[in-house]
Amino acid sequence: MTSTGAIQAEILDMLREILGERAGDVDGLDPNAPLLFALELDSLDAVDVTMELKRRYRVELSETDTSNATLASLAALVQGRRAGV
Amino acid sequence: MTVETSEPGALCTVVESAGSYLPQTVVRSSELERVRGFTPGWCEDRAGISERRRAGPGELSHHLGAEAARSALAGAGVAADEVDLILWSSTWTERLYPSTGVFVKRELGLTRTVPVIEIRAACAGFIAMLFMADPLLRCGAVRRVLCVAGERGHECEQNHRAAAPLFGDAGAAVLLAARRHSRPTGVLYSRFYTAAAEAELCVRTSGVPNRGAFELATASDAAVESEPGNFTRAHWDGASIFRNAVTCMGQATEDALSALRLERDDIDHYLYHQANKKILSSLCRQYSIPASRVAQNIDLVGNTSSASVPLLLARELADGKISPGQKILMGAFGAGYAYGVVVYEVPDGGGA
Repeated sequence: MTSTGAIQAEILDMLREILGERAGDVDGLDPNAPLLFALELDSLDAVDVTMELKRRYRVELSETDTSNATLASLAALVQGRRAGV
Repeated sequence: MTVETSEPGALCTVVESAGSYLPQTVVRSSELERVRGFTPGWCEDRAGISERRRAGPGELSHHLGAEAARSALAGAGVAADEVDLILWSSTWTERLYPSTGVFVKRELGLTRTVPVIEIRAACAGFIAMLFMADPLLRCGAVRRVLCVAGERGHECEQNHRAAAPLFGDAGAAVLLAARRHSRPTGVLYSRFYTAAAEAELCVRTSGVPNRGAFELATASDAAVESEPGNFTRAHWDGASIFRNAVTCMGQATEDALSALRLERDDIDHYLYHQANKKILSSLCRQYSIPASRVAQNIDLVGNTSSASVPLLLARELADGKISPGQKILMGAFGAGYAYGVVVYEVPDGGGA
């Protein structure tokens, strides 16, 4: 089972890919800050992030899960869903 | 229904020419954001749009389409009367009836009683037109089909403030012909789908004609439109549209490649509907589509609805980026949800 820390690192890599030219914004991100707000992502980005997480981890997630999450809480949620919790 | 490849020596559907028309007026995102009270940079950040074109008050969707159609006919050196069928698509249709395409025909000066059929598939209209035209050409029912799209996307300014900056005005047309080839070429594959489960999440209803007709209408029509509750209404659920656009165009692309036994790198040009730059990025990332082969024009014209794919095709042809033997995958997604994919191989001799 991948650790929460490893999932956090993977999510950061995923966000860099999504952000493209703004990938540097991910550096120094507070894991306990509201993720989308901290990265100035909008509701369509929330859909994109959710779809990407579902595809990569094969877990059920909603945009609400993503919209209100911090990096730490999102990684924990993904890990929990993968474990069937 | 899937249209499979042609038999060797059989008729093939080829693109003779493509034409486009953009209204002269350029509206920059910075100007629109200032006038309409959006945060500076909203259009770029939200959709990747820096400017779009705006048709004038007397420049209706059929005018935009007719200009593009003239360009396509001239490009092929074909007279209007040599066309056997006109297919017309407009998301922002001028009238409930007759088909606005009738006015395109009149603008072109076609005197024969050539049929005009309006295809209503919103932003996927161009793919739907190809899907309908291809079997008619390959079975010999018609020799030439003129597919025309005319879009006045800024119509939505009157009823959907948040979406208004996303749309641009344009006309685009593609002239198709039936040609015999020794092996299958031209349109190799076309498939169109409708997934109606979320049909209410991208809707425009019409109580009275839209602004195009409104500008020609009587004072009493104006009185009706000004009454609360009688406005044409629009509703878009951005999350549903984004999710479905990526999934539907991605899955349709995979279906096409699988049916033709092609790899992603076998396609030289991917021409997808330009609704939002973020949709294109997500589509490429999630379905491993090589982004360097995905043509884009959304930054300069916005979402031009069903004109967007033929507009891209016309530009790529005019710029000499498309060569004989190359394969083009065209895909679009629109309200309905309606979506589809066409794979086209540029013939070695004749045709675009």
